[in-house]
Amino acid sequence: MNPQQVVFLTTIILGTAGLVLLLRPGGGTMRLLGAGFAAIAFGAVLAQAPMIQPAWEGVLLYLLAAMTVLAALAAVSLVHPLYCAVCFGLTLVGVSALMAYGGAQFLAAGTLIVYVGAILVVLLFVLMLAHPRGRAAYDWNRWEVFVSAGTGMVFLAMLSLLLTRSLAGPVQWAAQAEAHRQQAAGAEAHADSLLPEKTYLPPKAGQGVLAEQHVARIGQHLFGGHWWAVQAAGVLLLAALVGAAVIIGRLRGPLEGPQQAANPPASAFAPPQPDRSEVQRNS
Amino acid sequence: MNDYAFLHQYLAVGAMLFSIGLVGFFTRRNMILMFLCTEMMLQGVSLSLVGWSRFYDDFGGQMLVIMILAVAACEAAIGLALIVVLFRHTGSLDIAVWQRLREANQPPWQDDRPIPIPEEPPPSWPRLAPAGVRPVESPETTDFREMV
Repeated sequence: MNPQQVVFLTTIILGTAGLVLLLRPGGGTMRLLGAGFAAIAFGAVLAQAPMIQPAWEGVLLYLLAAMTVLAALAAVSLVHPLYCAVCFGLTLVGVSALMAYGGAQFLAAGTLIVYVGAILVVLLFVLMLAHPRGRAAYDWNRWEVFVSAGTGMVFLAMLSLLLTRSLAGPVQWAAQAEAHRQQAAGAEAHADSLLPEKTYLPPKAGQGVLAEQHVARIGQHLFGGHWWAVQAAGVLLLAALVGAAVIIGRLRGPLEGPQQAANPPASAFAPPQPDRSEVQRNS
Repeated sequence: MNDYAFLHQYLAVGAMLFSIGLVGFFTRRNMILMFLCTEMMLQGVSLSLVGWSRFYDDFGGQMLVIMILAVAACEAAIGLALIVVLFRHTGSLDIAVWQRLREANQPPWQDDRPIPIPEEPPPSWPRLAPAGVRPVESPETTDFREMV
């Protein structure tokens, strides 16, 4: 077996076992074992990427990636929803750090502001509003764990195999890309002389993502070539605002759940309305 | 070669985030956590787009990520409003409560597994001093009483 097949099988078998052990209800030791299995599987996928030079950058990126993926695993597998939300916040911090490192500083800041500052906080508000007691039965017993974990890991293994095979011959690809870029630059230089001033131009080689004045260039692109998308996003945001207000506006009175405010359940985990639910012991 | 290393790593992390979010969306039953897993899948896609954007030295990927951010904000507003309304109807965030919306020929899903929820400890109330008996006072209380 070549290394690609080894990583493929490792990802599927160890990753599925680890996720099943992580998502199974209860069992602290088994969860640790599952986290170890999952770490081996995801590490095998990550280790297929060639080492980035210089070495400290590569180590830094590996550490960031490990933090992101481990926090994502915790966000999916922890029982308490508030802990899940906090771990998702850690995932977002890792993702935005990776974005900042990959030449997307504006997006890193935007991700932190929009996701952590708005979406995650609203999510925590709803969680506290709707679910003040913290633990419920449906946070412990999950749906089909084995089938879901197997599906996800097969998906990941196939993506990883595709990546490794696609990037196997980078030299020819790089040569082709370089030739194409030179050709495009020549065509642009000819076309630039024919264009009137203040016309939007795509970036020339070397003036792209990693150039200086990153945010200015992003603004140039956003309001130059993609202004219609900005308009569409604005209309979409307005429509979402109005829609959310309409949906929520039908509610009258305090948000105390259904008619259980006057008759609270005896136990914190008692089913609130068994007659409405077909699930026997879960909700 | 370094470009390919960057691209490979970013795409690998993006694929991991996407698949972890996929597994979470399939397995979790809390509606808010399903929503959170959807956002995690979006993050994976955004990260791979940033990787491509760096690889091709082009801003197109980042423009798409900005649009993803806007769509995610809209989705959060609408989705959380809907979750609040659904909670108002049933009093539970369990998605299995809504299984009566399934196809007519599907059997109902029933869970017979035991629930491993630990017992809550009994609440510890403060003990009141019995009436008519002078409570034992600590020396700190008597020493500093005049200063209060």
